[in-house]
Amino acid sequence: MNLAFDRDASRAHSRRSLTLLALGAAAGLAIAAYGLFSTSGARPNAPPPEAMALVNGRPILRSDFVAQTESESGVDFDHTTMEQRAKVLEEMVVEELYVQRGLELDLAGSDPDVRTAMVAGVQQQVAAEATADMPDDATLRDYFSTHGDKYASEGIMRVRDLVWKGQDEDAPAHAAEAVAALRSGSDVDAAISRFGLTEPARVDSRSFDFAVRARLGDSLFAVAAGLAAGAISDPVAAPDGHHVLVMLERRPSTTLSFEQAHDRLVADFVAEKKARLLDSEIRYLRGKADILLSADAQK
Amino acid sequence: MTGAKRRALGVSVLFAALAVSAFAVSSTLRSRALQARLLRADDPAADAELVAAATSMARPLFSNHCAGCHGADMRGDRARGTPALTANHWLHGTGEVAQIERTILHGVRAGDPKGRNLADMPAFGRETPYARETIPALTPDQIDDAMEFVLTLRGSEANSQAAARGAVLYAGAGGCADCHAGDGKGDPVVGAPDLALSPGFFTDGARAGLRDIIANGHAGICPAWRGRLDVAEIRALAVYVQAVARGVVRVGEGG
Repeated sequence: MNLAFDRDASRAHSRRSLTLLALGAAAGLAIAAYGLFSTSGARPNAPPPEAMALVNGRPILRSDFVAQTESESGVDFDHTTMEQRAKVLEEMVVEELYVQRGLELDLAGSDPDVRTAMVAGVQQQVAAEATADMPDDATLRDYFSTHGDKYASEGIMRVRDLVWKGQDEDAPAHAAEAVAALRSGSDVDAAISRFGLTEPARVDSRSFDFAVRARLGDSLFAVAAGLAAGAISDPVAAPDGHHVLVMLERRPSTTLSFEQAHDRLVADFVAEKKARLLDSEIRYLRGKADILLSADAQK
Repeated sequence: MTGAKRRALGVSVLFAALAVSAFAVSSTLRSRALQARLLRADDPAADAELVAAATSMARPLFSNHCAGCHGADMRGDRARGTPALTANHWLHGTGEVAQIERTILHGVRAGDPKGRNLADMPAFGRETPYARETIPALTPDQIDDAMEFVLTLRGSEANSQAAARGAVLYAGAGGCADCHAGDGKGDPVVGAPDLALSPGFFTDGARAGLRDIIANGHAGICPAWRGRLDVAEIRALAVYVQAVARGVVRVGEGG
């Protein structure tokens, strides 16, 4: 064993290793320095794949470009010409330049239209967050169980409104006679002739409850809603006479099933969530804002 | 272990590490190149490699983000008004990848200003049928007439007298033709379905379902995924959904 040779060889290997390490470190530092201090190193050579163009670093997205091209040309993107696409791209580049210039000029501080659009934009951004996490079935069913009375079909009725217009002291008795005749099976039109009743607005077809309420008014509608099909109301005194309601058909309002109400449930749930998010957004903004009011504004 | 053996082992480990690194880097570069091709292609559906790559990327995304509403089988839920994605019939657009991509990016009635939100199906059986503009409610008999007319559009048996009255409503006071078009074929710009489709997007074609949707309306919501999924993932989903709808890829296949 030649210890001297081994020692020399070991030293040579150590020097080589250190040299290689140093060269590698120097190369890495040089690349990093180029990237840090060279502006051309920071500028991309091409837009990212999802963008058609970069305008001062801001992308014009392909999806927006395709939608805009289709909108302006009126045909599918595949059928647009290169001239059409170039025109749209140029318009979008110009639009982006104007937007960036608008930001530089702080137009939101002076132009009411820009301010209005920005407020709407921020609120829409909050709304988009509200739909970001769609409620799952369990959440919706829980919401449905506590708000189920909101989700009902409209009731339907076919009702005739007969009026005895007499205002003398015999009027209530006269109306009661008409009711008795109807309840014992008299035909409605025959009863109208026999007792001299009037019918302010005859509607022979079925109507939804809201339409009947609009026609009869709240107090008469309340009476009608309590009648089953085939029932005759007691006389109802009103400023224009004594009313008798004849219920010909009746289908009361029914609660919708969870599936039937599903998209309304989602919409209402999301709307409430949006309202809460907007409220918390404005509380957050106020919380970190420095708002100074003049003395007379605080009175 | 002798010095020579240690050196040999060190060199082997170094080469192995270099080989693994090279493989990882090349895989990453290849994946990025594929994503870039996917994003730049005007018609990715024409490239089988892109469709395969998109399917592989999109299947777990669909399962995690879309299946809750559209179903793991992508057949939707008619009772809840969630459209099926398998039949190559489209509410919004005509099934082009860019159109599907836009729907995923910006949603439907999701509060995104670029989203699909031009119209809802009014609830003609309510006092205020439509929040966007004032339109008259219909009576129950008018709703039945309109329903009978829609049945004729589907080629189903219908009450001819009621359908004739319904046709007048459809083109006139009901305003149905404004969205569903004069021939009932729908309008993919506003998301109004083709009424001749049977079964339809939201009903099975039976009278009860048709009456319910005319009376109670419909306005489904699809979230906007912009900013929550990256652009390549959204593009992949769009390519995958189109491929399934065209029968190029089966649901559950691919990767």
